[in-house]
Amino acid sequence: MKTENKAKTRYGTRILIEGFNQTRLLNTLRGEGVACSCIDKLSPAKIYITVAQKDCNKTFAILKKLCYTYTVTASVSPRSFGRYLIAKAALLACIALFTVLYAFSYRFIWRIEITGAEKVETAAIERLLAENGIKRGTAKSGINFTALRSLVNAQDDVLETSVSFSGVTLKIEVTETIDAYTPPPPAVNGIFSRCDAVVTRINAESGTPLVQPGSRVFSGAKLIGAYRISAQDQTEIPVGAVGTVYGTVTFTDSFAFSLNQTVHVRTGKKRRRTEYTLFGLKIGAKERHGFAAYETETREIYAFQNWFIPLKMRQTVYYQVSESRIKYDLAERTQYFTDTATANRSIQAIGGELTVQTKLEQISQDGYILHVFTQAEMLIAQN
Amino acid sequence: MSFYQEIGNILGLDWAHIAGGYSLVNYNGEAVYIEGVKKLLVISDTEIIVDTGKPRIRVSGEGLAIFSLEEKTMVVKGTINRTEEV
Repeated sequence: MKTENKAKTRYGTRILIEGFNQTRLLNTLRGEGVACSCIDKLSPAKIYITVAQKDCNKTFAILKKLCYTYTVTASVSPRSFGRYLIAKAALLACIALFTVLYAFSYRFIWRIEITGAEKVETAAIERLLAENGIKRGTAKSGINFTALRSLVNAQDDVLETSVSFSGVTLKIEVTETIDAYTPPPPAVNGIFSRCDAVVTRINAESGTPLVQPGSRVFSGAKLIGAYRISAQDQTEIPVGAVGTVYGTVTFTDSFAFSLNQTVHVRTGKKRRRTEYTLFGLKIGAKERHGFAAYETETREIYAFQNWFIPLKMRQTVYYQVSESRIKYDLAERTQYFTDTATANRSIQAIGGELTVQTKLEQISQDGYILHVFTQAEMLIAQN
Repeated sequence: MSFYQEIGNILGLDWAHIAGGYSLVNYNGEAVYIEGVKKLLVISDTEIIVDTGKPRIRVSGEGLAIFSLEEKTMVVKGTINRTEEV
């Protein structure tokens, strides 16, 4: 029997060998006293082996003699392993430092988020907090929630406040008092029309109507004057104008369309790709989706905002699409565009009542223009 | 279905659980057939260690030689004294 060749697996030279009859090769190496280890058979013609540094030359000679193709893919010696560790030491030190800094900074507030404040200025609340020693860099342990709530609640227009921590963020949610309804002040210059219309109704609570139902008015025309006529001498006495005016408004919408259209239809296949950025720098290689034609939906997630980590995640879903031609029916298209034109108008119309007229023009073999005329009674002026 | 899977079914073993593991046959101490080989860690005349995932299999004996090596299986010939998990 040959001598025992127990391999040391930690250090050595990694060799990729190409060729068949690997069993013969391994037995030959073993027979020649070469210590092989970490043998990975990739395929019938490819095998990885690791041999000790001292056996390299002997291994290469055997491989040449047996006509194998080989490639040295890595060499790990105690010295190279040491160099590797030194190279990585800086990175490891940075990670350790970051971890320590993060753990330390987690004990403090680095962001103050105030929500729900509309009447009360956010800056005013921040000033108030700063005056009471609560600002960026304040230790979390030094904050008394009850005292903080009382402080903010004491402000005018603040009904209630809730306070919480989220990571390194101090969250203050303000609920403000609700004002009773106060009517708008009378218009001193009069009430003017917002659009071209035919007046249908006038409700003048104060002031003098300048138009009658049936009058055609243009946008900007004065409808109610800010004065009243003296019954004694017919002179104008200034008063604030208050009232509402309704009128019939006509809208025109035009749509050009073709009955033959190429549309992209999603096939159902999709790939989700996630990209990370740290300090605005992209991490990792560009990922590919492999679709020739596709649509995308992207969303950005700033997941660690509350933990003061500048890591952003950008997730993109690629949907594979295929082109297909659609032949539309003329009546269906006409109805579709008519509905589109009237959808918003019916919301503005008094009682939702609309008068709709359409005019269709053919401009090519498959091309049309549809004009939709919509009439509705609407509020055209108010104070 | 493999020969070992058939035996496993007869024995009522959960094949889904053991499929990723190894199977080993010792032929009268003269050869060992091992199925589920992931990596060959050590080869010597007296010892061959095989990585099969979680456990490693050590074949101890004298005059050990690899008779065949496929992607998942191997046959060791020689005087087999012991096979064990390490």
